[in-house]
Amino acid sequence: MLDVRGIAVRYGNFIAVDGVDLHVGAGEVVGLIGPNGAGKSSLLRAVNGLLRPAAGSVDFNGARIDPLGPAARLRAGLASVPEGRGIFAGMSVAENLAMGGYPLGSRAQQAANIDHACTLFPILAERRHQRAGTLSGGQQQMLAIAMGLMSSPTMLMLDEPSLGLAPIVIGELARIFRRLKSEGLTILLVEQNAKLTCDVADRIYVMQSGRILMHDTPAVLLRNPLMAESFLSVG
Amino acid sequence: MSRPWPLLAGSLALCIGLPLALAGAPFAAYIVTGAFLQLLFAAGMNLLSGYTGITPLSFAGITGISAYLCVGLVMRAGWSFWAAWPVATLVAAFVGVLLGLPALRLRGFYFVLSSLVVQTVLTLAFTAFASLTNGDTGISQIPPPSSPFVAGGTLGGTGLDLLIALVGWAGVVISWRLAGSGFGRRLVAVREDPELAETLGVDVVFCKLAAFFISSLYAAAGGPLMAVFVGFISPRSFDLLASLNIWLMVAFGGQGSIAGPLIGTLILAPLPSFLLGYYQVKDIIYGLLIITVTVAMPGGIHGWISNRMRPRLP
Repeated sequence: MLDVRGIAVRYGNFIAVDGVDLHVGAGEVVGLIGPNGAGKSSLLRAVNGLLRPAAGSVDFNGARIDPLGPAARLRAGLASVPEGRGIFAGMSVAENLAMGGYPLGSRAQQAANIDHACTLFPILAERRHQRAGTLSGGQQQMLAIAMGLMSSPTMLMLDEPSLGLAPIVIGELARIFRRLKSEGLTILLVEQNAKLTCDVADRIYVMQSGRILMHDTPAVLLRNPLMAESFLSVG
Repeated sequence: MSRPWPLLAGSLALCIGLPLALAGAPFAAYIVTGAFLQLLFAAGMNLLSGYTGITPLSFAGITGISAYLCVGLVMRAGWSFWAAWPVATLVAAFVGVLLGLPALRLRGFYFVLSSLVVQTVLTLAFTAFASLTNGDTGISQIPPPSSPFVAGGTLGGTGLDLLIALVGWAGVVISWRLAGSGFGRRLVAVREDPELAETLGVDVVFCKLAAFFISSLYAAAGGPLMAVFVGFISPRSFDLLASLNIWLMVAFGGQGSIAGPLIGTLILAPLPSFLLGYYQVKDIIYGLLIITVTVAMPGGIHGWISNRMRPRLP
């Protein structure tokens, strides 16, 4: 579904992503983990179009999307949830959802997606008219995910959704990701929390210093001593 | 607002009734019409400064371009005001978009600075190209528009007051409709978090340019009206202070709301007329207000009131 080949991202002389290949198949949940500054977010921004990569190509459903802007990638079905509460704090929950559904155009589809978001996250239905900034951290992250789903994507990329959340809320996130997968959504989960990623991902890429260090199923990675030492001790 | 019609009809009646009622009181009519003109400017400034989060201190410069262009077309080229007005407005609005291009790169304070430079250069240009603008002396005895109803007649006095009141009213109503639309919400999204807006598929560049064009249309549409209303224009009419005054009306009333600029304009627009003999006092008051607004009331009067009225969370 998503094929990333040889992506490189540079900030001036600094090479943040150094020739990364990554593949996500339809219906898969793929994790991308690595320490701070590994280049995970830069890679994600090259895939969703916020950033122009210095080299490499991005294919989505067999068509090259790297010349496209973020809006066109979104219309192709590739949505993303940015790092750190991707919401408009001053707008109400309902307005935030409407912003997420903006590329749809069709009001009926938008209403259906709001209903779907509200069954996934009942709290959002309750807080519909509340200002998003007054929600708790966990609720804000739920809203950010719901906004990502509003454009009816076939694939959703999330950048560190667990950041700063209580363990119980992280458990809730895992439940939501499994449910979304069962509904047929393809997910790329960028995380520092290796435990959450191992819980939900079919395959995991481990990234360090701009490169893919290794890539395997969670079961195999968990047996890898290097992996266990570098990443799982923190999780 | 679910039932806007009574409010729309009421405000329209007020805009028609006020100039008619003041037909016998020229000084009061002058103040009221001046306020309507400021209302138009404030509504346009608010779309950019309040909703999109871009403060253009070159606003009055756009008004100036439009005013000089229209007056030139009428007094030199012999155009009818009714042809020169829309042409000057469109040209100046396009210039406004060009001058707004730095906003695509510069954020917040840095754009304000760049627009301040643009405004200063425009003021200098109005002075320097004296063959077109008559320099610091300004252009006086600008003829009133020809009457659209009576052949050979002119539209002056109450007729012109009515025209300006209606344009001001339409400007506020259009800005209200825009702010409540999906486009208005996207402008707010661009102001709040341009990167998130982009992630959600909003074309940030288009939104900023569109906001600049619409806001410049407001600035430009008012220029020719101001010229025929006052009968005199000079570089001082369109200088940095003029831009700041418009911004102050918006910010003092409350940016990013429709009521805010209305409140700000109603309070501040008549002020200079009451302080005619004390020009410096006016500038001091404005300066103090600018400080008060930026330091103590970032949400303006409207923000302050709605904060008080919002129920406190337990």
